Amino acid sequence: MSLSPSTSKMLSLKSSDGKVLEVEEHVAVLCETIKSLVEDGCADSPIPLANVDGATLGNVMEWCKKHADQKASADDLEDWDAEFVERDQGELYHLIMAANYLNIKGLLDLICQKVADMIKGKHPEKIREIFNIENDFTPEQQEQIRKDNSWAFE
Amino acid sequence: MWKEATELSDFEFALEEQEDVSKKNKRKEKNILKEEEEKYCLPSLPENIIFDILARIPASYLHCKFRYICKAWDNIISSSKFIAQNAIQNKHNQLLVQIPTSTKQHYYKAKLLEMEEMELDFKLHCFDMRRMGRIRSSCNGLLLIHDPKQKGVLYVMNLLTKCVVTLPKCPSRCPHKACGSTLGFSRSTREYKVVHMYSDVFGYEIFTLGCSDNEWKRIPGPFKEPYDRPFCLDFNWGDPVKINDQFLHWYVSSSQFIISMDVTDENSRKTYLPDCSEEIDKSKYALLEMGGYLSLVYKVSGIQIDVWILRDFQAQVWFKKHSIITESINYTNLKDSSLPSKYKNALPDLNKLVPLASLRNGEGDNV
Repeated sequence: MSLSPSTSKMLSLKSSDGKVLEVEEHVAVLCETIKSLVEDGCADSPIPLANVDGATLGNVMEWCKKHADQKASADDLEDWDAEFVERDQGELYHLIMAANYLNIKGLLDLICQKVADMIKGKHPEKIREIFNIENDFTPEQQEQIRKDNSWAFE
Repeated sequence: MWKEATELSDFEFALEEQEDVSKKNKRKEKNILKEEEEKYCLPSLPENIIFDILARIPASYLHCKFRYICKAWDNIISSSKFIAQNAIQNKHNQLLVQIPTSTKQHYYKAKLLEMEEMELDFKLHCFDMRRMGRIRSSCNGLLLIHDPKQKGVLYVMNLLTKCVVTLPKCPSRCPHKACGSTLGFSRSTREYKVVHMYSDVFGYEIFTLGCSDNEWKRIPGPFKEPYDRPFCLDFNWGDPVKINDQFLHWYVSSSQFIISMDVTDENSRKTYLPDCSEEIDKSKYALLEMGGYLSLVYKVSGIQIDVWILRDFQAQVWFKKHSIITESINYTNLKDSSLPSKYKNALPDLNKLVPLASLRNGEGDNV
């Protein structure tokens, strides 16, 4: 299948909140989920994306467009990516879920790395808050792990 | 797999934990209700994404902080799949350094050296490894360690969780003083195996981590007939050079071949040395890993070192990557100005060379 920009046709994508986005096919197929639909010939009508809202879909496609551009150099992409992930937590959350749902490995890797860098140095309580998780260890259990891990011969 | 192995030894602890679970579940339900009333939080991310994020966090942070966040995260971090992924993600900038302790024999301390790529700087992390045995081999964050307290005992430790699996003694009763042992990983079967070689007459001893019978397996050594063996009275098997955690290569004091093994099928075989114009002198070559390939460094003459790369393990294809000729390098011999002038540009004693720097792409290694 030829995916060169000049011959690329347009696909319309429909977000969860009903917004329709027209995207060039060679850009949209960076999403493995859409690519398999296109390859199976199921991509004629607006493709419904029930798990992605309009604003996030716009952001995702902006990323795909940049990365589908064959003229962009690796350095250029790296700088662009660094700027792209400068977002608040809520936006990053929606992007990560969308990248997972649409199966875009490059974008998922990028945001996972961003989140990892972001939380690496944070206080444990802050990390639990960000991920909305509860400390389900009792202090005794926590102590037990610590003990198990202290070097066996000390 | 790792879980299974550790759970056996921690069986009692696991029982206690189970009793606590019901109590805690009740409390957890209460807390969740309370939280939902208090503030809006993002719904939880799927486990595969948490895995992906945590795999990108340096081991030292995981060890001292992220394991205590919650049980689900501790489970992810303790899994053998995770430790392999984390080691791969962080491979390029972490190095485990081991130093003998000054006070006690057989004891070593280890520190994790983290390289700062851009600034030519490094950080040392202690990692709670002040007194331990000698690390024989490492693989994806698992370490094969020689127990300093019990003679002839090896154990495998998970670098992140410090969980230890003690291996049964080898059938050969090897004291592990002059033997070859390594920890390998088969990518296709996802198994970790300790391969041990004490004497080729006894054969290989292989232990698969997490195997059901918890026993070493014996397979015949590489030489079918006694006359196959290179004759050298001083020869002892040493630790093999490991390529991509899967292919093992032993120097066997031969000018024709080395012994190789793929840990997946456990078949050992001869790998013939590169085809040079003259026979290779068995005392003048060394094996090492370079950029994911086996490399053979051969001192051809007083002024020339050739670096060969084993391009294809199956087909045994060697490729001469570098030929370093000293006359082109202005090497200054500091001490021996009395040497005849024909040695002026000769290579220094190979054994006394210390690598100072190496470029990432393997080109232009400086010695």
